[in-house]
Amino acid sequence: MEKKRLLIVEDDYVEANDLRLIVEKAGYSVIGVARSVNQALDLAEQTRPNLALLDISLQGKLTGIDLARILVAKNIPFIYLSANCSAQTLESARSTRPYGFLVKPFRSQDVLAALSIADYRLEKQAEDIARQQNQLQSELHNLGKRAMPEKENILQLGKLLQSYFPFDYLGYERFDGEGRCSAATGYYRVGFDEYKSVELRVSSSPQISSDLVKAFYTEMDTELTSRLLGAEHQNTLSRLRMHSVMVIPLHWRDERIQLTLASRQLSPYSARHIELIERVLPVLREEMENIFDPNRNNTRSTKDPIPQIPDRSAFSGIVGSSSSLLHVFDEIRQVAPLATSVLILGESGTGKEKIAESIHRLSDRKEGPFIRINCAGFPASLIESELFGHEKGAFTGAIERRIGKFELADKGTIFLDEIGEMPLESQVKILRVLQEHQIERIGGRSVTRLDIRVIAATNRNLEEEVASGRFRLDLYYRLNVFPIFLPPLRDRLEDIPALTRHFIDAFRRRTGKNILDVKANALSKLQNYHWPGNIRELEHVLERSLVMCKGDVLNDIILPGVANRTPTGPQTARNPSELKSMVDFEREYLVSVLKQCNGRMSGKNGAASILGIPASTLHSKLIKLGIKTRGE
Amino acid sequence: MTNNQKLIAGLKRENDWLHHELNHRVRNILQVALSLLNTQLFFSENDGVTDAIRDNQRRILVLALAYAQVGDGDFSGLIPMNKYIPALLRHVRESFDLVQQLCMDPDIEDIKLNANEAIAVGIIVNEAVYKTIQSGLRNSALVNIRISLHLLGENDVRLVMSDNIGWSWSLFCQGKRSLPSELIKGLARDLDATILMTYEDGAGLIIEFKKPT
Repeated sequence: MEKKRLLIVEDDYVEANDLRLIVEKAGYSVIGVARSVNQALDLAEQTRPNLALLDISLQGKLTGIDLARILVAKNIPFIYLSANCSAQTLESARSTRPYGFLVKPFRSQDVLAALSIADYRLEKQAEDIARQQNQLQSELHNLGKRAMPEKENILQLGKLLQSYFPFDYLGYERFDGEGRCSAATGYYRVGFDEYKSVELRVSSSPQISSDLVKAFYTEMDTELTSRLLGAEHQNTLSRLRMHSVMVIPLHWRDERIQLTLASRQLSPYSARHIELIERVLPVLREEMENIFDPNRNNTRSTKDPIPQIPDRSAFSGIVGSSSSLLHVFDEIRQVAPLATSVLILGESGTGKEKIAESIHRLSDRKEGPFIRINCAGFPASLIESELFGHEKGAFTGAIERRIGKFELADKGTIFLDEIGEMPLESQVKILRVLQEHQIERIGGRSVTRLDIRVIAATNRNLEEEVASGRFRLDLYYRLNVFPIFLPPLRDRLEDIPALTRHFIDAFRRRTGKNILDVKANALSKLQNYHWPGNIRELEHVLERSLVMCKGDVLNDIILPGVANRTPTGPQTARNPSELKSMVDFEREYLVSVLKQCNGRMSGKNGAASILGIPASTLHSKLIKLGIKTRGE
Repeated sequence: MTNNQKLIAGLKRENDWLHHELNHRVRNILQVALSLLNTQLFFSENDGVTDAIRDNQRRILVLALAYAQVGDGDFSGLIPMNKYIPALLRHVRESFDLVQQLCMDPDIEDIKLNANEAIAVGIIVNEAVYKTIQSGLRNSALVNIRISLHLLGENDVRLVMSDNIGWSWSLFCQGKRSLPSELIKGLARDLDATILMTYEDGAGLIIEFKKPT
């Protein structure tokens, strides 16, 4: 096998030399050691490295992070080296999507571990992209077989691309040989599978894009994007509050067709999206005859099945249609068919488990098991026997052999909930399972090979956990391959009516009590609350309000701690003497919730479950704030 | 804000920055030291020399780990022992690859020591634990190590290290001089500590010293 090529960017000779010896001994070839950003770029130009090791602080004005941005554009993966691993550094590193992070001082084994994680990720990524390519190509062939009017076909093509290149807007423009526009339509996404078409006024081809041969992506920048897209089109996108665009130029006969994907997300597109589109372009061109030709005879069969795109039902149980939620669905559709591990991030009560379930349901492992384990609240010794299992007699109390959760999840998915709470002692073992796909039961002598997909979730900021030494940096980079951020409820208030309806229906099914309508002021009260406990809190609030509700119309909502607040948004005190400290607010809030729960802390309607925090956390908070509950 | 307040806020910012920068530099220098030793490893063919280099790399890491425990916003210069000692033990464990027949059970109170004392305690623990595991594994025994650090009264600190093999104990009885035992004794002297032997819960050492106030 050919040796993997590494580039070392480090301005200290002793460290650089040490790194070189370590990696060469491990079988890598070093294409060079660069002391500055420019040297590094020169070296990378001569021989393309498979991976770079970058020190963040370098000689000269530019840092390793500046270099990283250039490497990202060139699709060269890298690992950072730094003596500083504060949460702030990790956060600014994150935007460049590194494949690892080594903290100085490091040992040779730390270097090798980081390299093996990066290699693993690169290998999986190559598999993933090949798989996406095959899938997208066959979907395009399918699409080409179906006879449809031009516009219908464009929309179908868009829906198909949505799972690979998530967008909120799709622009379609056609220019003839002289650069005159012959068709221009925009499709604006309004629901999961619904688009509204917008006629575009485009008179002629934009200046630069006619020379454009390769697909590219950029953040919305008024000057650059207006030259690339033309002023009219760029205005349309700005009006729709788009942040990023990806442009795909296509040539067909002597015409030029330009597809513009735009998204409200910040940096949703990356070099791998470009790689994927470049790979499927030959097939896309082949099928263009069918997709783009308006005068084509309808000779082809219309009976061919519509391409299998997961529909809304795949996300049953997840209610809402806000743009931020749709974006989560797009990410799920992208990642579900792949073997990649997924990290779900979001506050408590945002429904992380539902997301994990739908990833499993949409994957080709759906027939296999879905095993969930909550990593919180287990001491190291117990969680290890839960996860890995044990042999009879492995330790006192191990009276019979036990199969661990990892083994139960073979050929399926394991969902590690609250991974941020996992004891440090166990984290290294988890890392080993993830890297080597094999487990060893406690007290066992043999290893078992496993085929599992890992989905982890946490409500903690893992970067802060890493910085404070509570979470392993290597495990963080191993898990953080495909992060999905679940928006808190306060950022998707437009979903509250649908969620309310959903919970009212669930309530009716459970109790038989039917609520026909929700008064507007009740709804606006719901939409003006900030929902620290997210959907779980909404569920509890509605439940209580429904129980108290007389008649078949929901008139009032009982919000925790803010009884009958008028719906005017967050309250602001008029003069500074009215301002309260965070601690005071927290104390008041907790007292009010406890009152509502009649002092009950845990259990189904206890304060802890309403607040969406573990009862033990609530308990320690109460002690800290000096709040006494009954019986104490 | 008065001028004085502004001045104090400015000085505090500067001070915080200096602490941060100092920590950063210490780590960089420790990396250079570690890298020098590591480079030497690639050029040595003698097993004895290799082992000695590795032992010293581990000692440098013990220093580095102390500085790694200082949190982002913490400028007190004190090392939280309840984070430091467990981190150190994890490192020792990892240097033996993962072994199932090793049980370490740290019981460390939330005590903060300044860097000198913390590192002295760190090296003592490192020497005792590492050699215990090494000799235990050589005899393929099940190794059970207990480490505890507690505050007795106001400022008496008690470190107890015991194991089922009795290595740390035999260290002082065999009468043979070795670097680990010399280091433990010497650093205990630095701490003005008394060393006692214990036979409870396996054989072990008790090291007691006063935390400077």
